[in-house]
Amino acid sequence: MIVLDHVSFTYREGEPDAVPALRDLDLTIEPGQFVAVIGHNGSGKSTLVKLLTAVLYPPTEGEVRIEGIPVRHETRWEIRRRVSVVFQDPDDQLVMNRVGDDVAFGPENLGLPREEIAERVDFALGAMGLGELAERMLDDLSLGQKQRVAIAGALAMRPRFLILDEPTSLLPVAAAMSLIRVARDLNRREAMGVIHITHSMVEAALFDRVIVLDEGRMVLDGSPAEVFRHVDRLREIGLDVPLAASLAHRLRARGLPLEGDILTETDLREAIAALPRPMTVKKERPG
Amino acid sequence: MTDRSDRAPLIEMRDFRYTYLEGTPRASVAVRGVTLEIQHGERVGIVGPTQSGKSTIVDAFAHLLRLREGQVFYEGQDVAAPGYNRVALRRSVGIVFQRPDFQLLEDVVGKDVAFGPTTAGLPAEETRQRVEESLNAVGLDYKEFRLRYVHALSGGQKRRVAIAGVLAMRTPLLVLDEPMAGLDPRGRRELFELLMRLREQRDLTLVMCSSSLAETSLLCDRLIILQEGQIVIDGPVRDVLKETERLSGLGITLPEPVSCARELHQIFPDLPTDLLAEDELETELLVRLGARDA
Repeated sequence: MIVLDHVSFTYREGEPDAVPALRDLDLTIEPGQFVAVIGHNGSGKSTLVKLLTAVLYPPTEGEVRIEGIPVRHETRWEIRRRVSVVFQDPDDQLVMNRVGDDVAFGPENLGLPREEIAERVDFALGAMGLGELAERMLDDLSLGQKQRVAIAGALAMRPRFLILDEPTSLLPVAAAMSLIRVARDLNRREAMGVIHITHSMVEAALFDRVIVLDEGRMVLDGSPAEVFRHVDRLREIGLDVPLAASLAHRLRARGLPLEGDILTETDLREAIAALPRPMTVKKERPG
Repeated sequence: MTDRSDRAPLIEMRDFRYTYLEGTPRASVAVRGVTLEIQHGERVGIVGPTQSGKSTIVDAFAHLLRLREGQVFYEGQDVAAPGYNRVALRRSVGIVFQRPDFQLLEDVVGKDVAFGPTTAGLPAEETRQRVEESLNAVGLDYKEFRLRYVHALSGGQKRRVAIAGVLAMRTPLLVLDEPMAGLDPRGRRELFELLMRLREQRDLTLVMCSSSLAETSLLCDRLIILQEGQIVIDGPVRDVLKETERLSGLGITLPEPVSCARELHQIFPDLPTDLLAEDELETELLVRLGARDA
């Protein structure tokens, strides 16, 4: 379990150019949860990732605990064994030339026995569908493939939580969706918690829980359906609402009785198909 | 394609082919015979999934690759001909590469934008003016940003500095390779607005590479769709958007109104897909649902 107990973080605290990045964040993420954190740049997403991976510690106020261990200087290695992170640009993270060597890099640094390293590498490559690429050079891979290698490297650490720090923002949509499917599969099979940092609402709709950050505060937290109900609020923050959700909002305002939560294009189609027909739609809202 | 004048096309490519690491075991074919013309003042989107050959084609416009097979003409002149002035070509074809970090050469914003004009030998005062104009054009206030460190900027700001650096060269052709990649919605919106302003400049020819039709369909008049190094569709934006099945089969991201309309086809088989905005889709739906503005 990840607990943020009234956490605030201010860069250059006490100085005239101090920047508050997180403000009184109080939140719990259960083991095995599949969570998306969304917000635009400057919302506090990156600071949150740094606190969860023991890159920044301790917070200015409050406490971060991962499986009961407070995140501090002395505990940073224990924390990093439990939480793995995959960054936006795989080139920032991949250190070896060959795919298999790169995935083995983390476990080797843990000083594990050779057989265990081999086992973990096989598992991680297999889980990411990279088995056949183990001998390939990283330079020959596409960005999407490199991103999978980066995730395999994180998986080989056998973390309790996998943090995906905007790994999809450089990928074409189809590759991004396939990456999220892989994360979902791992989440189900390995009961591994996944925290996906993104600014795409379309991606966030695929998670069980969506946390919206704005200017360091948590402004919305709930299922995608609950969060996407706040179309106007999300727009105000500057986030893109999926067109299906926004269109449903508009059609309802026109008096169309669309049923259920509409997050995706499929939801919209089903809701429109379920409308009693033929029907007459009024121009104004029914009074 | 209609010939608007007796002027040669700005860019013409004839049966261009390119293989990276040719003759080695790691050889990979990037472009398999592309023929195209880009006229002065056109706004063209080159769209295809990753590794479909987009970047290779635009790199060839500026002769950044060794041209082995096929020909590239700039204003009617073969750029690979002996004695052709390559330096002049590169001062005519401005490319903003996919990753601004590969393009930004100086540590301070003002110096970076001045790099091109200075290297081209422009006088200091002219250079300063161009830097100021270009930074202001990309929405980075000259006074505020000229002394800022490049590495301390956000991804969106870096990309705008890279664009300013190319604008300062006043190239007749501006090529943007995946300009939206890696930007958050706010950065994307700001860059989109900037590009909308730029596209209104009559004397500028604009080419945008992307794996998505979301922005290209709004910014360009013509779309060239690539698959595995070949052109598979080439035409005006709305005509291309009618080909939804083919486009999504190619792994190209459709603009949201188009992809939503495609999903709703099961209910309304006559729903058009050449839609550019949410409003257009809403109107089409209301008509089909029996509502009509009186």
